Amino acid sequence: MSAPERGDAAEHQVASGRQDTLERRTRLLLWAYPLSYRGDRGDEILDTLIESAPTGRKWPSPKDSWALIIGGLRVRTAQNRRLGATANWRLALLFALVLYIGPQAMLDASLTVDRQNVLGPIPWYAIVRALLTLAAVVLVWLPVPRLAAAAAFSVYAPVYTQHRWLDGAIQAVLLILMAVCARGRDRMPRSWL
Amino acid sequence: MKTAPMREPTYFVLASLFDGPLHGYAIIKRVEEMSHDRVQLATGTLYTALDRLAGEGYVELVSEETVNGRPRRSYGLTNGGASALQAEATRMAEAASLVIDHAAARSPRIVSKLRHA
Repeated sequence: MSAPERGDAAEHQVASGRQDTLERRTRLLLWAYPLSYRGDRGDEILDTLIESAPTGRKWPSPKDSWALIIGGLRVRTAQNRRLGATANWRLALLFALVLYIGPQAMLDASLTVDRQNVLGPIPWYAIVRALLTLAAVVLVWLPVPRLAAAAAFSVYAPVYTQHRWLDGAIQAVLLILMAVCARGRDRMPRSWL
Repeated sequence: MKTAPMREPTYFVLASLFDGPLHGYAIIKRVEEMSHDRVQLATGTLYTALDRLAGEGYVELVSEETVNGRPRRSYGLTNGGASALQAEATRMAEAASLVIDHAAARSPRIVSKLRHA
């Protein structure tokens, strides 16, 4: 192989590396679209975007990024509209609960570690609580059988009440809401992620 | 059929398909060319528009081939799409002629006014 050819090859490699970067980053943005739509149109949208991007671009342009996010939300809106009001309320509530409980779980975990530093061994229920919280968040977030999510929460709520009755009351309300939300889960499209 | 005026990107997407079906990137290029670079569609905007136009029955999927292991789909104008485009063009031509004809009728006067001043 002569020197210029090698140079070309190296250049080509750099160029395709850049394209891979652009592809990867654009794929992240495609998450704005629901799963079913991504499966059907994702590659096509990606190809069009890469083709229309100037060579050597590593990031999708701000305009393209914005258009993908807005486009994705539009598709989701249209999809949600077909679901009906009850399912949408349930979805919104579930989403809000996950948003509330997720950080709560992280806070729990960090408090548990702090307590270990101050008081010695971690109490077993603290570990159970932290694990169950995380498990519940994951189970609810992923499309799993509704019972799994409900079970995780039902163990989690009584564990919490060992501390303060207010905590317990809040958790119980959350549990009921969660169970109500999770009940309709199988009638929800799995594509909303 | 009376419809609301089309938005410019919509108009140009339909117009780009007037000569035959095109795939996504070709539509973006053609729109750019036809509008003298004024309308530059973002990819996301194009597909939002295509989805909507397909829903309205103005555009349809014409062919699907595989290029480099990836699907490449071409979209074409339906009869409904062609007549909607035609109707919009007529509407704009009528609106434009109001000003253009008026200006043409008025300009001799303006010219003579300027001469007398």
